[in-house]
Amino acid sequence: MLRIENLVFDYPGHRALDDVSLELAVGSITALVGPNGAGKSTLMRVCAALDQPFSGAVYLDGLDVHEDPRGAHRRMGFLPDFFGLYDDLTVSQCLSFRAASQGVPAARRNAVVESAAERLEIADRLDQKAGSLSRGLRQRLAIAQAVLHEPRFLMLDEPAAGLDPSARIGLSGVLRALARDGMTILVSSHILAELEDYSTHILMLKQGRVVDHAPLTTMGAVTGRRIEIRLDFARVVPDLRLRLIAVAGIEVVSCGIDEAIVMSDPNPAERAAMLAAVLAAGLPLASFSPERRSLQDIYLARMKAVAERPPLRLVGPR
Amino acid sequence: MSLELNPEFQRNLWLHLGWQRMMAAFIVGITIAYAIFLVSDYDKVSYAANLISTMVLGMWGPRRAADALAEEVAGGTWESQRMSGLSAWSMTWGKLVGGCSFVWYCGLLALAIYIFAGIKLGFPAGRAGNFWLGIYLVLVGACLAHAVALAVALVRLRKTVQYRRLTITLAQTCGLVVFLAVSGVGTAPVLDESSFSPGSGYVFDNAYSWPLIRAVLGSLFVLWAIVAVFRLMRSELQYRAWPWLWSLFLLFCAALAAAIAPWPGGGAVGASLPVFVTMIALTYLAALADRRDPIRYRSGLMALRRGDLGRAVAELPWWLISYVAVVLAAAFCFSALATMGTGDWPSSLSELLLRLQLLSFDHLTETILLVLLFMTRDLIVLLWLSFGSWRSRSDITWLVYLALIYWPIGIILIFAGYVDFITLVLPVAGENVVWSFGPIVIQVTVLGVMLQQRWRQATRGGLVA
Repeated sequence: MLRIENLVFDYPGHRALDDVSLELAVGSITALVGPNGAGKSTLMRVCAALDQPFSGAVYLDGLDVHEDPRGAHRRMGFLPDFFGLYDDLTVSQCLSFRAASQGVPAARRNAVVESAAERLEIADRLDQKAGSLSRGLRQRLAIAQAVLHEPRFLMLDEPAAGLDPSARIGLSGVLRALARDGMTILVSSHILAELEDYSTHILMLKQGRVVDHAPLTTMGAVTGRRIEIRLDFARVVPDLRLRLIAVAGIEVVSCGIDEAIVMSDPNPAERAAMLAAVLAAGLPLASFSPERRSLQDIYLARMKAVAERPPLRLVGPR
Repeated sequence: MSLELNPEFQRNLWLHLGWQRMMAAFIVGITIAYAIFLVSDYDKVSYAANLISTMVLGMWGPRRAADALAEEVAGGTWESQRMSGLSAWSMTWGKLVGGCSFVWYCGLLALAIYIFAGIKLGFPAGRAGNFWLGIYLVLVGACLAHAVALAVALVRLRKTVQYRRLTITLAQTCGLVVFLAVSGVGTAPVLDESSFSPGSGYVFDNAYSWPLIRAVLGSLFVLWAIVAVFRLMRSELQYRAWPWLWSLFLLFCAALAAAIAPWPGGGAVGASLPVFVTMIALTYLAALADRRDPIRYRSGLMALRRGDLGRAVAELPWWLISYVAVVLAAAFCFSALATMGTGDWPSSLSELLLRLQLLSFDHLTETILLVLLFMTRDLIVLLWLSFGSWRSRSDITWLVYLALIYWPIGIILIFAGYVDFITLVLPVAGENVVWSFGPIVIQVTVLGVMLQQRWRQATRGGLVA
């Protein structure tokens, strides 16, 4: 869907994106996270062909977005962090203008406007002026404008900023529904708990470089090249740690009286062998599953693991 | 097949041209005209309508044209416009005409009243010596003023999204100036137009009335201004920007400068000097308009090193092209001066040069060389400011620097009796070659070294591949 190759973006005296390469899978919702100044918004703006990179390329469905920005804009939607609406126009006029400016033929325009309004649940507000909408409804109208032309790829920069909890829950539902319709979504946010709710992948940036990019399901359990397995036992097991260590190949991370977290190779055959060994040792195993950590835990651990570097030197592309 | 309105134009009509506003403007306009007619006569109605059309089209119009863009940026809708499927051309005329639609409505209403009064008065000559030519000049001046204001707003937007009011005021001022220059209001005594007698100008040594020259030039510059807005809009949409149009504009201006000399019968010298001066002015203007982004310059240099000529040419700053044009114009001047026989000086040009008192005919070649060096120094100063932490204030700092270095210091030296030292601050060659060229060569060298250091800081080591 979206492929980024060796992207470099410089500001005077400062490198914002440093050799970023990645690919987003079709239908995924990727959470773009990182500390302030990591390059998240810059990455989105470059992907949206709003800024020209120093070097590297961004391909959307094989199309170089910087060679044909208008062609790319027909295939993508983008909601920047500080978006605006035409407050003096009605919701219907806002959507109609957007549809016309995206080249939707006049004959189909009303249907497209109604469809987008229904999708974002603002169909009952079509005659209301945009300036009179609540913050949550404004957000929905802005997203409706961004997806009205049925883009295959959607980028949202801090879409939940300033929203109350119920509006955030509503936003999560909207994003999940868009992904179900086949849209690939890249969302930047600082609210990690909310991203965890609907994201399928996580993309971590730090100092303009990709720290991690993986499916959330595997990243929750993976530590480096190995995964953490949670073992729950049916009853209290005396000397549990010693008995687990005695089982060949098991490295204990933490251990209680009836539960433990151990390291394992991600290879399923290895995990099967470990499970068999634990059962063979006569331990009363009740459950055996990859350990799920919260997105916040993963984020903090990964950011801590990646050492701070001195400010990036501006050098030519490698 | 149904005719579809440009969406940007349609949106602006929704926002600015509601029927209530149209009705209100119509009623107010007619009421004012009728009230003036009741208390005086058609002459005063004509005068008032003329004044109102000037204020509406020449003052309010440029402000609206600039605001059509500035309000998008301030309101946060500009990025979504850039992400839309609208072409640069649709956005250009959608904003230019749609954003000023109410201005045009009011301005045309005032002009209609002016024409009505003109019919009653038997079509007075007015500001241009011809009633209809005067109206044409107002319309052309308004088109040019609006396009220039939008172009200025676009140029400012490329440099900073802050200072909205400053941007709009600057754009409005530029628009008003070109409106006055084209429509001729500035040269006509507004209170008594009948006493105005339009003078003549020379095009290829043939005399034409200035209003006619302004009408033709104004029309041509309207086209160029619209092309400029379109070209800047394309840049905003991240299309690769080729410098051919700017090069073509330089050629156009050079041809104009050579053709429309303020002195007739100037020959090669009379034609080359205005071209030289025009190219210098355009270089300063292009340098001021350029973003002067060291990253973009470095990107262009690296593309050149890689042999990617397409990108290298696209990243070429416009002022550099103008600088080359200045050098070519200077070479043309040298050649014209070298081949000029004694007594070939056009008398009107001689008078002009003598009025300056400082310029010696014996050292005109050296003076042209000095002008090149002074311009180089000024450009180095501008780049030095732009590559440092004062980047966002480099424009205004540079303008203050130019004003200080060329005006008060020179005046002080002259009035204090140190005319021999004038070569320190003004490009005027004297008898002593070392004294003429020494100071400026030292300045250029020192500033060049300082610029190199700034460049390395901004690009952290320059071109490291």
